[in-house]
Amino acid sequence: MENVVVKIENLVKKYKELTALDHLNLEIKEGEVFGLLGPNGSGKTTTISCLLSLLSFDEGSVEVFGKEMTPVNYEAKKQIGIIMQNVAVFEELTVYENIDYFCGLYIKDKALKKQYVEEAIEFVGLGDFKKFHPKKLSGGLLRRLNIACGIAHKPKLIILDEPTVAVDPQSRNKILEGIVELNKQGATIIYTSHYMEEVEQICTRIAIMDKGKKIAEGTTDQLKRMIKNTETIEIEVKEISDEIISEAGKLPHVYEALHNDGKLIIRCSGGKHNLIRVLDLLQNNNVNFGRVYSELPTLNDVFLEITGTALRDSE
Amino acid sequence: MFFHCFKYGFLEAVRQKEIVFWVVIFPIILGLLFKVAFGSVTEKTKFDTIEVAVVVSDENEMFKSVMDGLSEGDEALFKTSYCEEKKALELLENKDVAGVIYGDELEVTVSQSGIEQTIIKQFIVEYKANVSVISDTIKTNPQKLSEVTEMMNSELKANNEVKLIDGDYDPMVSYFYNLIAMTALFGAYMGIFIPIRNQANISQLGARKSCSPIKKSVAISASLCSAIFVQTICMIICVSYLRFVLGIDFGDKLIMVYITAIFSGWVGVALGFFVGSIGKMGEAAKIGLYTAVSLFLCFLSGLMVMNMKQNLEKIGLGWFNKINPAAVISDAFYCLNVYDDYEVYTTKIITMAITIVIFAVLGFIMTRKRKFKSL
Repeated sequence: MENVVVKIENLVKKYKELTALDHLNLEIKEGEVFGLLGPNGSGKTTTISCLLSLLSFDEGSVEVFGKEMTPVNYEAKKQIGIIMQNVAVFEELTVYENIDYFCGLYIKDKALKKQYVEEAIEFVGLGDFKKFHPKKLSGGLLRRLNIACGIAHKPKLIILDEPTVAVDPQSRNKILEGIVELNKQGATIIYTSHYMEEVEQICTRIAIMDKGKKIAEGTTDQLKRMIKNTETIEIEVKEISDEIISEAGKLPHVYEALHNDGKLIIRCSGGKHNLIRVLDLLQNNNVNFGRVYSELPTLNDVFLEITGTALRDSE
Repeated sequence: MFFHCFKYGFLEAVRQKEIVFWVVIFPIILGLLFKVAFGSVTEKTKFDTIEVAVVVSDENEMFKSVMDGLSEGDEALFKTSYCEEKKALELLENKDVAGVIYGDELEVTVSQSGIEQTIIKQFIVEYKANVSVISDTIKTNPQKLSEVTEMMNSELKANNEVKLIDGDYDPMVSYFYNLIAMTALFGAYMGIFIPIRNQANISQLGARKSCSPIKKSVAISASLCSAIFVQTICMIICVSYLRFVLGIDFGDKLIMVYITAIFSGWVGVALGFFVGSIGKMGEAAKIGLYTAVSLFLCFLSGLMVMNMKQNLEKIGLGWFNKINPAAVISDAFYCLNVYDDYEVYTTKIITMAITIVIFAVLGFIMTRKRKFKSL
């Protein structure tokens, strides 16, 4: 049986009248890349803060490495690497000094610390910027520095709270590749984000959160199987009668057909050759059409179907 | 772990441009400006020996002996040249002397008006008056001559300087003491950053540090020690600059000035640490709060308005300045400047030490929290 690294049971956190976390349960196993997906304000960062014992909570319990997490659980803290949502580095220290400072809070042996710092710098690709001060770094490089400060001591559990916010695509890819690499090296990862593509790309298991509650949990495939939608067909159509739209809605496996913004949108549940049947219908009724798209469901569809709002709409 | 945090606390402090400016550069600039401004004032008001030409007959021994007496020593009133009238007037015309004194007639000739000329004239007026009193006494009541001369001597004694300190007292030095006191209070900016950078509910860095396996007491102690260390260096630089670069004469109490400056600097850091630990305000708000508090304390200590201490005493609040850090610091320097003994000074130093301990302990108590209701 895989070891449980983090166990959160019935966690309730209230800010006066607002319930930020509502009986949240999570179990994260060793070696996982666990994604916490949800719109802004869904409770992801609050969950992380409670997990790290920075925030007090009203009910429930948090265990890390099998022991209750408290502010003085230094043994657990030694094995955790944290990359905060906002960059937390010293403006007055250089890249090397920042990493050395944070690594030194965990590693006492000077030689080992030096080795770890060098490895972290190489890992995030900041070798040419060792003597730079954070102010001189671009947003992407600053994020990489933030990551290096969190992972230099080679923690067993790495928590990344929205590490790619406001990061250019090149740096984002570098960061995501790095996270996968860290996982390959043996670290358990908790990754929070509101970017479903990222979570889908790197996470082995995902919990979707909304309004402080976990609304779904599983692998990407498991989550997608939870919903009715299996295929969304979009066809550029300028003019189409209501009768044809209605006819399209009655095709096998189609559960929704609508014309919106110059596009005919058909949502299907299961079945094969759905696209061919829709195109045949349009041709038989002499409807002119442009580009055709067929998309498999995304995590946004999962979120949409469960909550009634799109992930991006809720931000 | 302590030394690791101390080392980086030191680097943080010395690389903060605002701190370096207020604690090192600003006192250097202001000290230089003080020196330039007050230096010219003291030069202008410095008393120079007055050169006079004296025309007097050889028989007038009494006048000669008085003039010789006033021309002796390092701080002589006159530098006297005995000569013939023609030569004396020539010297006056060439402005080699400020005036010509006719010793037999007790008259003065000057070519222009000024302080030196006024002093020469006033001297002759007083000399005439004294000669007149003595000659009248000899004529009318010779047995009282000794009493009269004694009275004249006692009048002189009444004007003698009463020395409170060893060495020369320079009133301008008090401005430089105030400059040191101000530098000490600026040290608070270093103290303010300590709670801000260690409290999870105030800054991201605080939250990040709180996630690491370092005890909060160790992290804060190391930061506080590094701030105190840096402030100590800054105070030593400040006093050394004033003494050895600008040449400010702190008398024979230079060591005490160093000690007082260092203690004052620690008070500043402790006060900043305390203010920094109050509430959940951000960095800018806390710096603003401290600036307001320090200005208020300086105002009450009389550094801004004269007689403020006396006014506070009149309304029964005189006790406040006994614990007001700004007043305690300025009083300590005042004691060094004025008193010859260390009784009052020691009280001030003890008050400073207690202030440091109280603010540090209060700061620790307020920053002890590790878990928060909100971040």
